[in-house]
Amino acid sequence: MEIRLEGLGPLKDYFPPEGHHSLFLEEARSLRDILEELKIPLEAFLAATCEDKVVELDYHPRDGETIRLIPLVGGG
Amino acid sequence: MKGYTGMILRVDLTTGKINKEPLPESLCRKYIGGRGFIARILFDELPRHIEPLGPQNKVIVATGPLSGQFVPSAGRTILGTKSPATRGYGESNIGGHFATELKQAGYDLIILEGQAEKPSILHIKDGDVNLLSGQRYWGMGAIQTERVLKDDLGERYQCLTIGPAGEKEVPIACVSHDFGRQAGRCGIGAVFGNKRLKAIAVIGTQDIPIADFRSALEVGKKMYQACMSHHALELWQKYGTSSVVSWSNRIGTFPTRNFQSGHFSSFTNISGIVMRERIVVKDKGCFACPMACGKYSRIHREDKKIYVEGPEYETAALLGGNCGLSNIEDLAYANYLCDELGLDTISAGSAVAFAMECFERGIIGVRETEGLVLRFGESEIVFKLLEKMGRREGIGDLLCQGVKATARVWGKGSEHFAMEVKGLEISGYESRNAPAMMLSYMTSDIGAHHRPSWAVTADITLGRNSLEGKAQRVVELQHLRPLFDVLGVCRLPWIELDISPSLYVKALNACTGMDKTIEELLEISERIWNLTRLFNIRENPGYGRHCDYPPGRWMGEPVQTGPTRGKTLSRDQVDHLLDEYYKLRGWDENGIPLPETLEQFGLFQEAKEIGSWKSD
Repeated sequence: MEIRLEGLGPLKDYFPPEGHHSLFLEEARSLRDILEELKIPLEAFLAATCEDKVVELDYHPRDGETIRLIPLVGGG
Repeated sequence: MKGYTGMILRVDLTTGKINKEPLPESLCRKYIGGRGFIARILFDELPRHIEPLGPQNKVIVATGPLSGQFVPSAGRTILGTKSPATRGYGESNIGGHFATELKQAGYDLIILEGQAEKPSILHIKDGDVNLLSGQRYWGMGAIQTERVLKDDLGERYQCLTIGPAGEKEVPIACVSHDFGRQAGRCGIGAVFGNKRLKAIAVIGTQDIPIADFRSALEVGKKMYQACMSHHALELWQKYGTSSVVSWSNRIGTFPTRNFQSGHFSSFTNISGIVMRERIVVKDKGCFACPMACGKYSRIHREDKKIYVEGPEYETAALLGGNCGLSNIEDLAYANYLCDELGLDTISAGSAVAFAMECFERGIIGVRETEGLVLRFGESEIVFKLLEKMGRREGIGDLLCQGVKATARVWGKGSEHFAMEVKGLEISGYESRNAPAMMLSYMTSDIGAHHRPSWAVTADITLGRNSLEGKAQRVVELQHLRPLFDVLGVCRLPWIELDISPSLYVKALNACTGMDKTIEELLEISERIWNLTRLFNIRENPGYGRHCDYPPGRWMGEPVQTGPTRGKTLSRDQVDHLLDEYYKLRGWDENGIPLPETLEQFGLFQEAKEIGSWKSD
């Protein structure tokens, strides 16, 4: 299956010039595993969204889905 | 000067005398507004060493030059007093619509003095200002009071109210507005209660003067366009501050079980995702705000529908993880109880968690708790303790005075995990692996609150284990962030949607006709920071470095679980941070501003007097 991973704002530093990763996965994997493999620090983004809803790191993306990482700016 | 109404409303609750005074232009130029007005007026007008809960104390309700203007989230009201929680400088602010209405009624700020004999309501309708009987509202919840006041006076009135906790002068009582927003910190609600002031209701019909309408419109448009096109806008609109819960837990800063840890294993049950899916019924915004980060929620309890705004991140942190509550409905109900009673959810949550840990450690027993068995995660116990605190009953009469005062009574080493600085309970970030955030709490002028400096991102970018550059970043933040409380706007569009501070400066100049630069505004902010430090020194003989230390738990005790397990800072590391911080500020090794530093900011009289305060 294929998923798309996008980093917004300053997170683009962790992505190739086109601003996203297209990933081919042989089996379903958690978002945490995917991000760790890509060496994207878990503390660098505030939230991950899929279809405009926030998902946790144990979420297993499905075929065709786009995951967006929203950068941390402030909070609190 | 344009941008301001030019009028101060001074209300003496003892005599009932109401005065309208011109707002000095020099005050506007030197202190701009909001927090700046409050710091200067409290410093100048309060007699030294007065009791915070007494007729000599004053409450200032202030707006800023951008309050009510065409700027995103321009609805901030800033309140200040000598805090009954800390006996030092007290300040807290509130979103909603009150500031705009107050300016439309013709006033930039209200100074509340004295003490009424009977419960009162301050009623402001443009130029007509009078004190009404508050007897009928006394005893009502803070939210209920607002509902009934609007029913009685008219829906368009904007109100500040207190609940039973404020009436009973609970030192952690808040001021409420707009059905669930609070100026929560520093016990300002208790000072309202001490003055027998149940509420302020205001309605106005006047225009707010603007110096250069076209420029103001142009810069306002730019700011809104930047907000509306930002990639994080939808996240904030949908989840508000609750979106921070999962992230904070992920990095080990989510207060858990009285800050024993920074990782709550049940966090998903109280996260923004669950909150949105299960209880949120409406999004809610403050005046002129495109973010609408307020979430209005509905829960059911004993066959009744209960509505509450929130829970916000800080409430989820302190009443949720910190008390071990792992059910979103329970958390929302605890939030509701605090809102109606008029309790600060941060301090109240910290007090409950402190009592739970003391009970689990055997420092207190059922004799002190009137038979209650205090365990983390027991929601009914949390509810009972909140009720007792809000009404000053039994154990609640002690707990409501905050964890510092409670630890003094219970002793047996409990001071070590009384999680406060300067008497104010620490807000929502476990900081043993976030030195910049810890320093922010240590040096905040009101006590341990994140508003003046939220530095967790500095800890991430500069290295969680490093002390390098942390003090510098905290100083920078303590100048920039409070500027928003000076201008009278919410800081979130800047922080979360990247709206450039330079646009706020342009908006200020367009609205007022001033010609300020960001550097000049930061200098003003630093002047105010020195002034609030001086207030604390003047009011508390012996004030100094020891007042800036974090609780014992944060100096040497390792974090128990989660991603920061084993992390802590030593006393030497804490001292290193303070040494660097004081040096950057031009303060001596005890944290006292040097006379030449004060003179640099035009605080000449204070520079002359500071020696005499220290020897008091």
